[in-house]
Amino acid sequence: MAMKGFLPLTLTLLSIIATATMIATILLVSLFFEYHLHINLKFEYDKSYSDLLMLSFLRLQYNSTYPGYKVLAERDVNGFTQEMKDFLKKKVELLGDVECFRIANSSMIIFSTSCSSGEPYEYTGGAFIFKPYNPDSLVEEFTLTYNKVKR
Amino acid sequence: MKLVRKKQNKGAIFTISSVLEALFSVGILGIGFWFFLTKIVDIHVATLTADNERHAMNLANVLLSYEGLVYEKDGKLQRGVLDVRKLDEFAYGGRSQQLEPNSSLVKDAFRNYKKITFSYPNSISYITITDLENCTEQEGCKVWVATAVGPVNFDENFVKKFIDCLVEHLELTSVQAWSRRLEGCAVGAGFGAFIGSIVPGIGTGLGAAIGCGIGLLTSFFDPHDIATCGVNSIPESVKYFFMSRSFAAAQGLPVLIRLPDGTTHAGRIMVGVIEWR
Repeated sequence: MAMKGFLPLTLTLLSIIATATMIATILLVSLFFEYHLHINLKFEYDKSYSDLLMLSFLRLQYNSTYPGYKVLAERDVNGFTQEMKDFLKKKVELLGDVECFRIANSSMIIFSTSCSSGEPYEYTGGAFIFKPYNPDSLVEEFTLTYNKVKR
Repeated sequence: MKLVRKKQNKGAIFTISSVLEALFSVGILGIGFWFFLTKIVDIHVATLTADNERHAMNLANVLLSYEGLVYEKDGKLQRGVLDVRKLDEFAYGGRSQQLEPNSSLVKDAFRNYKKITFSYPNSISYITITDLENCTEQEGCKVWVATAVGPVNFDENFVKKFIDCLVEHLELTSVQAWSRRLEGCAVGAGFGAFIGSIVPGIGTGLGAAIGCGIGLLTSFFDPHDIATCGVNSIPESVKYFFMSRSFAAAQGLPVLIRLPDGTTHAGRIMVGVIEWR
């Protein structure tokens, strides 16, 4: 007689657990799907942004005859002065709303600016440029890694 | 006697508790179903919104290679480098502290909008290009604004659908339909005759004739048919409206703006797409 109410209580408990599981599953699946959509879009946007920033960076006009990519490509021949670095820093920061950045090729860091928190790591854009007067290879791969300004 | 009454009540108590349990179950099921449907609609809208955002990004990228905007050197287009002379022709230029919808620059831009031939179907896109190195504290930055109108899908034109639907429902042989039209003609004629008698130069006869014609036309179709055709002919393409709000529309993409003297300025292109589907 003491166990009479036990079965309905168990059934109620099971129903509540089943309903809660169903709602949680629907919620989790939909949240995952929406997150998946958003993260894909963000990836596409960031990739587009980084590539365009790299492209704009290389097409900057340092002076009437000297574009940005030549400043980098011919740095071993013509030098890479502080004035050139300051010019690139100012332009890249304005172009991409960048807090700090680093330009590197496959073997070394060519130029980097300092971040308020550690190293630049958030976004990356890449490009191959023609590098004359180089006995090893006429093509050099550049990578621009940067952090955006937090607002 | 007491036992008999208890036995009689036993079924009644069981029935009330069963009804309560059933109502509770129905309520839980209803909430679950509502929750499920809401989430399905959310996912459906999220998918379409993602497409809209993607369209804004793609259009911005296409504009950065568009020959009507991009600087050309030795017959080659320089992607991502916008020519100021082409920009002045393509878009409406001005200065602005902030591009708000009710700012005078945006109003002027919409009044003098340039229509370009490529865009997404059933869409209006607003394009703003800002020269980040040509700013003053008082007037803001130099900004170019343009509007792009995409091709409208005429197969889904609701006016055509609406007229086709009305023509399909047109009854020329039904006695009831003609009696309704005659009623319309009579009411219109009476009203027209009254107006004709008041307004000098029209006359009762002409007023009645015009009134009859108008009455006949307005009662030519059954009001129920008009309502049904109106609802059925709303095209699929206007059931959803989307406006891109983040990424390309809000944050934009980096560009270079080339001035006539050969110098390059840092800039930003922002493209927002308003679509109806």
